[in-house]
Amino acid sequence: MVNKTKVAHDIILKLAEETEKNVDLADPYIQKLLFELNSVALVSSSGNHNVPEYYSVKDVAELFDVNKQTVYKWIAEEKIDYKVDESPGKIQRKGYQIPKGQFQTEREMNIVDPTFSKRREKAMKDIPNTDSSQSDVSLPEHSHNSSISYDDIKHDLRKNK
Amino acid sequence: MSIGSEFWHKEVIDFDLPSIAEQTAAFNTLYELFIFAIYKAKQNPNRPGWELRYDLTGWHEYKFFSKELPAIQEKPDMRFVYYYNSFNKNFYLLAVGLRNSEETRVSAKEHSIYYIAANRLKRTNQDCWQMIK
Repeated sequence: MVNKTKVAHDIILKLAEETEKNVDLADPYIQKLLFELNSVALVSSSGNHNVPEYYSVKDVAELFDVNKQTVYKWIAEEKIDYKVDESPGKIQRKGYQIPKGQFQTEREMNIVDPTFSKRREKAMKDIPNTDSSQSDVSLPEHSHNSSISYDDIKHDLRKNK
Repeated sequence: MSIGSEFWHKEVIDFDLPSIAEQTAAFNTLYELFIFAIYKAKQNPNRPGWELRYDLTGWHEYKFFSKELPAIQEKPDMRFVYYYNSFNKNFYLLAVGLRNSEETRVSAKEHSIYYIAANRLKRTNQDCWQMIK
């Protein structure tokens, strides 16, 4: 069984290293660390030490933003560590338990899926700007040029036509 | 009603209106309806539901007909994009054009008035605006 205090200590150390680099808190890696720390704290506070530290296939698929079939393919190719879930209720379908420890850093995730970083960067760029603030473009308040009328524009258009 | 000034983007005068004039036979009628549409837009500039999103956040659209007596159930076939400054009551017209009925997020982007307006807005500066009296 993994010592929770040691895991939390390691995560805090990693967070401290990242904060020295002035990394944005919205960074997925930081978010992941915070999530891990939160889960460790929850487990520690509840006093339930029987909760396994495994991801399911669905969790890994969400983590990498791939299909579940891809995760099964990685398991078949033995790209990731796993163990077969032999708990009761898993008779008809095969369940896999994937240890969380192998996805601690972005580098480790890139070893499993080399396109992970590129895909994540692209996904971050493709998020549309949904900020509802007003237009940031500087618009003139007064005109330095001479103003023209509607009829002048119409007259010019007719002349050009 | 707006008591501020009215500004048109220079490409509206140099590019949009001439291209519309080439495509339509009764341009005089269309131009009068366009001026009337601007007048109506100024009366109620922040119409709910007519706001634009993403690159044109803060800007509004206005739909109007190019003919005086449109058929029943016919959609307004013209669009223009404007911005109303509620502090100095100025009205800014960015682009005007025909509605593109085949417009989707992927196809025919270049012919979309909103695509043109968003691109125009990116490279706009203070000298791009013409005051209208």
